[in-house]
Amino acid sequence: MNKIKSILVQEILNLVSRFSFWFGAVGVPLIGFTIYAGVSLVNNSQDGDQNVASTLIQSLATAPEELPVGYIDRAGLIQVFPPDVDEAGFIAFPDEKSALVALEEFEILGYITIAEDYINTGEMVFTADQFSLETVEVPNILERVIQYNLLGQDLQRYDWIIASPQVKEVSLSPAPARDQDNALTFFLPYAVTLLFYILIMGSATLMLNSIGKEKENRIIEILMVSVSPTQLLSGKMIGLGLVGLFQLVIWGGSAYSLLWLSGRAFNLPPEFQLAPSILAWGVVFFILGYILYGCLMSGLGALVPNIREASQVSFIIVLPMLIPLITISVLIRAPNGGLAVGLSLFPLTSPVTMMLRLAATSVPVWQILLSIFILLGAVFLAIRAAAGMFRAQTLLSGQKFSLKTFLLALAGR
Amino acid sequence: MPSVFVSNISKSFGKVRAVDEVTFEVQEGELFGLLGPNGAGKTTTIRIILDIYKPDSGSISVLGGPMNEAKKNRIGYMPEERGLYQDVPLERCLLYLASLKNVDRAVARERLEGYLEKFDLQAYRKKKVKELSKGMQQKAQIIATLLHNPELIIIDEPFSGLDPINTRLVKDMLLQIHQQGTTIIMSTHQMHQVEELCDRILLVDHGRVMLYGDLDQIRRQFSGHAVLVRTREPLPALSGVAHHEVYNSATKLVLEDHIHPQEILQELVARQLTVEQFEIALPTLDEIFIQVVEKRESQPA
Repeated sequence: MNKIKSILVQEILNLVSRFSFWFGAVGVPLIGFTIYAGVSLVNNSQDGDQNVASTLIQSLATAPEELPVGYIDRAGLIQVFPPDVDEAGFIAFPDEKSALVALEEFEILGYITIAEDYINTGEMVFTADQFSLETVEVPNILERVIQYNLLGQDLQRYDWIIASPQVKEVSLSPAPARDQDNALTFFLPYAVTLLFYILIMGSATLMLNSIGKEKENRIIEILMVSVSPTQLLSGKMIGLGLVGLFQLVIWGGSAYSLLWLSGRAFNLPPEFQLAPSILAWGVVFFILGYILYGCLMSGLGALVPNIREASQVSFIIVLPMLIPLITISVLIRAPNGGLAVGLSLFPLTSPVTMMLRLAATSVPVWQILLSIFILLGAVFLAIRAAAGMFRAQTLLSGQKFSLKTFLLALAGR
Repeated sequence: MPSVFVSNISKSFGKVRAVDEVTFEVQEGELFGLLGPNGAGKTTTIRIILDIYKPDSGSISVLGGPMNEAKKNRIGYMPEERGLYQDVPLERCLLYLASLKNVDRAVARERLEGYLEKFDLQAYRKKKVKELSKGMQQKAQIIATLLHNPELIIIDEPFSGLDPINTRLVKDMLLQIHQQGTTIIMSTHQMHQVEELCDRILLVDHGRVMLYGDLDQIRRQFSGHAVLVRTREPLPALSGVAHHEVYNSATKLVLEDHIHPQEILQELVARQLTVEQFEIALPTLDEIFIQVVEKRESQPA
């Protein structure tokens, strides 16, 4: 036990004595806090209820259009605009030809043609050069205008219709309610996914580098006559894992604090907030993901002759972890879809995918627990495989790396 | 009780037989020389003793039984391929390696003071290992081997990379540790160092034992029928001498088969010559080594 402690302390000291570690662990969150402080300062000097930050964030979802939008009302439904819609944002055109001319001369953002039989079909055609976040809400607003007119301009009934239904959501996995069509819904899960990918792969790669360096420094033979391969593997795994966990707490805590502070100071929408439980799940998935990938990386480190070759072949291990990143837009749009659920249960992709899902939606607790259970099984097998590869003779062999040997060693042969 | 007992071990890597039925023992407190040319199987033998490699056959006893984790703390090993943490300050590196041998930090620190002073490395304790010269790194490596006061030291090519002054320093230190009762196995191909330090040797070549035993006995075994003579007066022609050659300040007389060295001495005395040196001419270990290797190479495979 003393030897494992010595190894883990040495690994921690080796890392924390580097400037680059502190820059990554503390410098990056500090930059975030500095930006927050700067924005707060500017914000305090603004008058009125609206502040700069919330306006900026809100603008991502519903940016006010700089140009008006044209409409051709073939059904003859629009007489007046309701009080909550700015009439200046719309221009009526008698026909499509004149609307097209206005569009070509950049007088309007686009135009909407309301079909003659709109009442039966609900058909509207939106024509624009290109569609963006600015235009996405326009047909909905025009629909509200039509509803107001169809209701005989009765403001009370109109308000009742456009008001959100009073549905009280009860979720077993408490998470802020999110609008799946909102652009912000994409950014937060994306950030969480990236954070976990960087932390897990970063910490696991430290294992590879540590072993690679010891082989390169030729100290591994001395270590083999002082400690057992299992002690060496355990000490490194715990030491580097603790450093990774420390970084997770700093980054995750800073990100959470920034979101919380920003939410209070700038009235951020719920899409930009996270449930506190995500931090606790995050620690669990980080630890399991790190052990799994750390074992695979250390096995690889034991088999490759030097650190250069290790870097060249480490992509084999990184590959599964890239799947959630490649399919991220699909996963965020359907966080409870088949692909997302499958990847959050498959152990090589689950640490990152489950965190993505937790940041994007409410995940049933049984799925989280099942994912952890499967991951635990995979971790057990990975530790066994790594211990098998981490033998003194393998560590000293200096043979060229072969994928076949690695896969056979993983299978315990 | 021997500190190390190696019984009939063999080890192959693929088709290459690196160690072939090697048997020897190293007594407690002995300074033992493990000799052989490059690729002879010395390092593989050492790695088998230290349980880094498992032998294909044969058995090993170290410090009274099979090798285990606890015994690692009682062994000091300096491999041929030197290795220290290059990016770590010297003092931290050595204290860490001592901690892996379960040495109390305060004790290790105290011992380290003495060694740093002895090896003139005090000024470099805070320097990163990579900033030290090759010779200094070599001395640091020796400190790492000795810092936990091992009962058994296995040291591979201890003098490579050292200048004559530091070679003397290390040699004296090994002799001092040997006198304190520590068992030392020294693997090298520098024969004159072995002649100076070791009592017994094992010579291996191509994985096989070529010579094993007491160094003096081996030299006598390989001595030709010759004597070394030095007289104050010029040496006259003597009967029974097949030929002679100048050998340092003396003359080496190769005797005819039927002549006993005693007869030569009697003739020298009878001629009233002042005899300053008269001894059986023993071959150097270098000469024995070359003889053995050439003999093996001349034999059909």
